[in-house]
Amino acid sequence: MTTERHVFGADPGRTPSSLSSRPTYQDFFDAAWVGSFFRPLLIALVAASVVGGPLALLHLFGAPWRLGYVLPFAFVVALEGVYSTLQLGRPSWRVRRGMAFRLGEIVVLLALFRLAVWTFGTGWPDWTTVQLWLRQPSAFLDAQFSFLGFWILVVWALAIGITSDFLDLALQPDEIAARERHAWGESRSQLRVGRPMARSDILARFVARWTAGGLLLVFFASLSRMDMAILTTNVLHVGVRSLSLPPELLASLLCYFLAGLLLISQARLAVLRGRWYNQDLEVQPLVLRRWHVNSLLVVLAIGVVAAFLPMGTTSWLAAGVEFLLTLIMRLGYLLMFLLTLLLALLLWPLRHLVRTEAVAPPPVTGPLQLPTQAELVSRLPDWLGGAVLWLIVGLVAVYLGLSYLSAHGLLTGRPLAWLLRLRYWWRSRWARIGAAFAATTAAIGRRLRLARPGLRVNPGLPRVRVSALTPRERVRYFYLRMVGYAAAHGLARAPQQTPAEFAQALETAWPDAEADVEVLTAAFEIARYDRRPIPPAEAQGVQAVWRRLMRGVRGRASR
Amino acid sequence: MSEIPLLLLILLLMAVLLQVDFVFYIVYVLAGSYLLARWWTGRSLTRLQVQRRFTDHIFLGETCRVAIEVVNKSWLPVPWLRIEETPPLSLAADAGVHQVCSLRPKERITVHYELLGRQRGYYAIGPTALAAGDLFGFAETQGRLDALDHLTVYPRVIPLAHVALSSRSPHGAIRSQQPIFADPTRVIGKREYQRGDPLRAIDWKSSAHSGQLQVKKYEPAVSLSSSIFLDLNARAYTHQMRYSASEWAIVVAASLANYLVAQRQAVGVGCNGADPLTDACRWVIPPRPGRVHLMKLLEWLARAQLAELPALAEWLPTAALGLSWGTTVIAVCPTGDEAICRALHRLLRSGLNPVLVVVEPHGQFGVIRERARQLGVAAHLAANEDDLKRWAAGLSGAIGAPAVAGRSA
Repeated sequence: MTTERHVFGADPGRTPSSLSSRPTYQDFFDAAWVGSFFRPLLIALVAASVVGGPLALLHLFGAPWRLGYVLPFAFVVALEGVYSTLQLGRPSWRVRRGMAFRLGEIVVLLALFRLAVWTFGTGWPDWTTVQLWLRQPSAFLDAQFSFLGFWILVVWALAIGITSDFLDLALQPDEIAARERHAWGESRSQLRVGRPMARSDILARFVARWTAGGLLLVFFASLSRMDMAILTTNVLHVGVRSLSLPPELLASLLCYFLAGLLLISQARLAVLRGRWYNQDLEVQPLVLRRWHVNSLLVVLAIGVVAAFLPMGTTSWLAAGVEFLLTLIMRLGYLLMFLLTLLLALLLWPLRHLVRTEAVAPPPVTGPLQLPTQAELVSRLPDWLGGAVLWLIVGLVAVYLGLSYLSAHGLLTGRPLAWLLRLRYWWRSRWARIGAAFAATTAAIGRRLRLARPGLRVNPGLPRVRVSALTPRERVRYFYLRMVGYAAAHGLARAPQQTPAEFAQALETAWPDAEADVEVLTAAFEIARYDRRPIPPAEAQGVQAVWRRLMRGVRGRASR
Repeated sequence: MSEIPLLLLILLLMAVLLQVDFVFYIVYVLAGSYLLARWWTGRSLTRLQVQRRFTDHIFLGETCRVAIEVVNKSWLPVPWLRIEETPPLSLAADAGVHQVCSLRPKERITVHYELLGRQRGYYAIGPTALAAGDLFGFAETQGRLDALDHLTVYPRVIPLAHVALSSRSPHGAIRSQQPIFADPTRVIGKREYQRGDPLRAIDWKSSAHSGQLQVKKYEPAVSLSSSIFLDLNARAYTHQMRYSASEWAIVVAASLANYLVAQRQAVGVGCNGADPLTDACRWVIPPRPGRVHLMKLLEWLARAQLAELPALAEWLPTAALGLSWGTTVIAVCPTGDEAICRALHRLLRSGLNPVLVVVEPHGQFGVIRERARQLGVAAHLAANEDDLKRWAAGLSGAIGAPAVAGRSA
């Protein structure tokens, strides 16, 4: 009897010594689990079945749409989501993970769904419709595309979520590395083995989601059997009419629950597999091989047996519950009637207080229909806004779609070369446009600054981050800011003036700030000519003095 | 998985209230899966038959392959079965059985692991821990095969060529140097009659043939019927050497028994140690010859364990009551203290042939030997394998005791 020690790898014959010589990521990759063929199909089935609920709703409201293509399309979308998620889980696809890839995926799927709606649902648009889209872009999003497209995206997201859960259930590289290191005699790796992943939590999360989805689906199925006419004509009667379920809903329910059960079985296998792996148990290959067969047989057997069991035999119970509900509602109505009557009796004596004379309402004149200012000013064609919007949407969609296609390796050969040339051309154009824009804005800024009266730019004193300066530099900086401000207001320092002489001139011009000017000048002289270190507190004091000085001088100027 | 019953309840309510027949189908499928899983899992372990097979007696250094056979007697498969059995630490050649397997209906599988007889003893093999579960995680069950099997690892036996032991029992199979033990069944030649020769020694046929009286020459021989008394009183051993010296004492006793059986002598063993199989505190196996009897002795010695029991000196006079006159009593003790020497002296006076073998190294063994000699008991030091081999080689002087083969009582 053979046993399998390496349940994870694609190559069970690899020995630790060969691993230690040159390990690659494949040695730590659970290829046996990720590369399964059966599981993605189950996930796609479960995810696609969800769309059966909205289809049932549409059936209930009698939407005049052809919907036969929706379920197969949802299945294809779910398969795509599963496939892309599995691919993104591979280390070699690590660089492609990101929002751009997913957005590109959404764009491609929605584009395909739009084509599918045109092909199988509404028919291809004519020229008049296209013109309408230009004038009113929202017309593109018709009800069928919007409603079903939303649910298609829900199916896609669900497929991605379930696939991610099952990827998390696979053996993780750190677990494999920990076990291999443990096998090589390094006991430190046991710490990781002692903290295995919470696969049971992932399984519980999946079961909870599946349960919620199942309830929602059954709720939709139940809604699809309700006769709306009865409900609207007789509100006191709560009941259902014996309608048969639509076939697509039947298929959805069947696929959702049976495939879901099989997926739960797979998740259970993953939980056990991880536990066995971390506990260093030998697992016979037959266990994994028979698991799929056994679970399939059990579910099919139960499904077949359940099909032969009596259904709807509890109608007497339903009739009883229905009678009880009707009774409760009638009692409720009676109670409300009695309360209303009591309130009316109470208010009857007060009827004279609230009596008012009827006043004839003034004649209402219609509002004056005046054209808006935009309508008066605009001379542009009415389709231009829609065209611009479509251009932007198209560019974004093309970019995302191309990202998606290139990530999947579908963009090769001449189209790729052409796109690359286009990209380089656009980059060079964009760079030129950017440079021209920067030059223009700089020139405009210069003109605006020069146009302001009394403002002279001190080119030698750029704005700096004060906290990055040393205390000495900070003192000099504030002094020079004061000098710059004085120069901007007609008190420029002559080249031959010493700081003390310039301070006298400033004190004459700003008599209120005499003390502050002296303090700043003295601090500057120390910072400039003295070698003693300047403590940061002193620099902070100089900053406070400068602020006070500036406040005072600006206030004086404003007065 | 606690959501499943809740989901079933809600679905059932919806099915009843809204009379949706297909929801009943869903309820049946889910409830069927849930109930079947629980019933199936609860039943799977009870329908398993687990059996352990292995050779239950091995010699030191031998390996033993343990086979665990699992039979699924049910018509339902077992999706996964976890089998775990950890071997005794001192016998573990590998990690034991830690395996997960799957069983079809009526399928039989066998898993193996190996034991290595590193140390003599009587070992419990098992229990086997089993765990099984369903395919959906609704139920999991665990069980144990509590039936323990036992493996006996015989003590080490050191082959001895010759051991200087004396005997006072005539008519045995061992040649003796003392003519007093001449055995009339072992004729080694003839000689002419001399005055004083007993008439029954005359060989009449040879006398008639030669015309002169001829008498038969007999080879002196003794019978070395022996009983080995092993002291496994824990208090008698030095605390630091308690484990190693007691194990060595068992090796010495087993080697002596093997030697004596090889000499076609009857050997018995008595011990004041515990026996885990019979829960006996003191046990005596009377002397018998033969290999079968030797295996029995080795098995008892394999199981013997140290115990906090009365000293061998107190028990020895009682234990030796059933021995026949002249039986050699070999007392294997950690130290030859005065009490054991006096006990052996009493045996000497009652017609037995006591020998003292000391197994703990002793710095002043000469004192013990002299004390024993004064009491008429031969004392030997066999504190290690070299001592034992030297004794076996007949260099008795080297281990401090006079050659007892020539000593008479």
